[in-house]
Amino acid sequence: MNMENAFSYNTSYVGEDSPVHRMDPRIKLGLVLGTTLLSVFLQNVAWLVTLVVMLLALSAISGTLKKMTKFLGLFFLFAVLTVAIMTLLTRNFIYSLEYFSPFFLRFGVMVTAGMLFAFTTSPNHLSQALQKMYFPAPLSFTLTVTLRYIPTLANEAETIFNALRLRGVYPSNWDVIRKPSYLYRGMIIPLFIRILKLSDEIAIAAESRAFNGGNGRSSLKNIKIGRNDLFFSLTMIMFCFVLMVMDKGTFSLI
Amino acid sequence: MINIEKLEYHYPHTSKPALNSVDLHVNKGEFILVTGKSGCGKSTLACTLNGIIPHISGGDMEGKVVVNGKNTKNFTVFQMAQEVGFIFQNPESQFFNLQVEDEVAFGPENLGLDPEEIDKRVSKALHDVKMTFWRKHNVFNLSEGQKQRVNIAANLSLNPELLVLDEPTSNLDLPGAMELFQTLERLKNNGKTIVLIDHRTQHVKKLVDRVIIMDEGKIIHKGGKKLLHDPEAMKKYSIRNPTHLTTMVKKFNAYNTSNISHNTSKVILEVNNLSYQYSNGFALEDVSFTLKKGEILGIVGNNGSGKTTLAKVLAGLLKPGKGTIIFFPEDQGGNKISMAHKLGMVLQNPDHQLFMNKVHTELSFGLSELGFSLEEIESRVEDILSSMNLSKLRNRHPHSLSSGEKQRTLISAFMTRQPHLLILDEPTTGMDSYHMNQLVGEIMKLQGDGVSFILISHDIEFLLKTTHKLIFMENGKIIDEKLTEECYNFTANLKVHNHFKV
Repeated sequence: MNMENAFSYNTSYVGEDSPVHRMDPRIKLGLVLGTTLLSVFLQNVAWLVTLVVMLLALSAISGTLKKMTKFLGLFFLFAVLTVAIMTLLTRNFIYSLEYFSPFFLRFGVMVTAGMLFAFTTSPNHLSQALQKMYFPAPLSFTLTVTLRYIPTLANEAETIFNALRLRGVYPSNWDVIRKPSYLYRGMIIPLFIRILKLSDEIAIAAESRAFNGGNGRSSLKNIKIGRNDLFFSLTMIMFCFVLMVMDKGTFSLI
Repeated sequence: MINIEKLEYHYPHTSKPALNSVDLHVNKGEFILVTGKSGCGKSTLACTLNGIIPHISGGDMEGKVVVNGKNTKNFTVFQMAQEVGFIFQNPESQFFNLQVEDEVAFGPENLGLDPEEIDKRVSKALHDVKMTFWRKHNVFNLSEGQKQRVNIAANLSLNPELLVLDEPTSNLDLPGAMELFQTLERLKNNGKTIVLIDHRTQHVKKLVDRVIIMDEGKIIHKGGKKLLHDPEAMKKYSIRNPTHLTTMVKKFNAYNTSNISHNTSKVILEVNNLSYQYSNGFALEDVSFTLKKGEILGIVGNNGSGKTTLAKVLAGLLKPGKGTIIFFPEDQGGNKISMAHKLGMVLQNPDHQLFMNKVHTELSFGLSELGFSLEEIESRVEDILSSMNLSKLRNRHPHSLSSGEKQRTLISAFMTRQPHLLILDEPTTGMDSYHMNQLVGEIMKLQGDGVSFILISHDIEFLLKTTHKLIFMENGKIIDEKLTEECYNFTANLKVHNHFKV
């Protein structure tokens, strides 16, 4: 088990530069919410696929597609397995596919849009965006710091898991059912001790650098909705509108 | 700059004072080293300088701490931030952002300054620590030494007059530590007042103006830098001082080498052409060595040279891409011995490795998984408790022990499995000389019983005292292998290897 790969510092925010990275986080947040909502309204599988392809194209532009494929691959595998099991049960492949594809495509839209946002937005930008959207300062800071520390916690959990393995305990799922104390003693308690210590260190470090609950903070890089952001938003709105019209209209591929 | 009068401090729920009648006066521009044994109160003293004590830690504080004219009792930690920059041991846990410039801007942003002023401060702070080139880089892709410099810059951007550094070198390799001290020298020349808390003294001799030695919460010695050249004082106060190492080490190793006969001992581990590659491209390449029964091998190298990766591959935590690891190559049936009997590995931070609520159950944790009967477990645990001097601590909670005791508990937990090889990863991080010597004693005792060791460390004093053989690693490869005795004359010999340039 190597959690470092799944949650490395680079996966949660790929520190590269692209038009998508430079976009205002509020616009990207709008994109996530907009596409998710639209996916609920769309009935036709073809237009749902188009939506997913559009999001994947944006990921490709931002250079994060490669990192995403790892997660999307797992997701795809899960979808294929579900359809396969359903096919075995109903002995009807077309029915299983038709039954599950809208569900997985909608889910796919949400996952891809969410990852696009997470992989192209720095914690700093997110915190500023939240502040500009009148989110209470202490909450937005806590939220963004939490995001920043997810990889750290994943590393901590991996080290604890390694320490367990070194003591000859390989807690498989069966072991955990057989002896729940392994999970409790072996993972949860040490992880909690580390989380408490880390939180304490972080809080002291923040205050030692003049942090006062986030009130009255300014920023080195002010986020601003620019011409590119507006252009992108308009294009997206039009694209989504066309999809909705097509979906409600007489066009139907399936 | 600093004026401390009759300072007394008790941590919450403790009766013994952590600081007792401390009086200290520090002038502007001075470089002060505060040193002493682990638990002597030096970090506690540092925490009083920016108000962490009493505002965050709680407890009872008597007396007065005035920094740059501000009494810390009347100002909170964030109000003191513009007076005192505080640099902690582990840089990573203090990073709130991913990009260097964002991290350095964090402080001024908290003050609500306008972007032009923040930009000016960030540029100046990065210039002061010579990190301007790395401004747009991800902090997590920097070396440990660079991370600590970013950390200093992140404090400098608040324009403090005083910098307090609490054991800033304990996670650093030698080049990292050298970079840090060069930075401190520049800051001192720029007129900053610096208080350094450390028990390693070899790097600071040139910089320090005054040395303060603490014990049991009191300042027991104040003196000039001459104190650092006095071997008697160093020994008395458990302060690390490798200048006088050679004679000490020779005495130690005379005993050490007498225990092992290099020619007749059985080879217990043979590593052939071992390779491993991480997904980020870093690789362990073509590593080969052998280890004999009762032999102690040191692995030396800078941060990121592949030492820990090698240890993880040996311990079975990572699967090697190529190559073989053979235990007991001379013994055909030997490979049937289970992994747990072959080796144990103690990781760097004990917090990750202690699972039970009593020392004696910690020692038996996981033993039943290896198929031992209850009676057998009981007798093994009792044997190890008495031989490792843990009987008095048997009912203590492992997390309540001191760091040295935690480590002893962990080593003991592996000893109950009667392993042939123990791997210790950076066992002396943050240890003073008393505790280090205690660990050396424990290792020697177990080595006498036939246990072999692989020690991964930056700590030259520790390695010279314990090991028979040293392996030097760089970029995932072994670049040299030497008997420890060949390294005694380290000024001549060790210039070759950057790692040992003391």
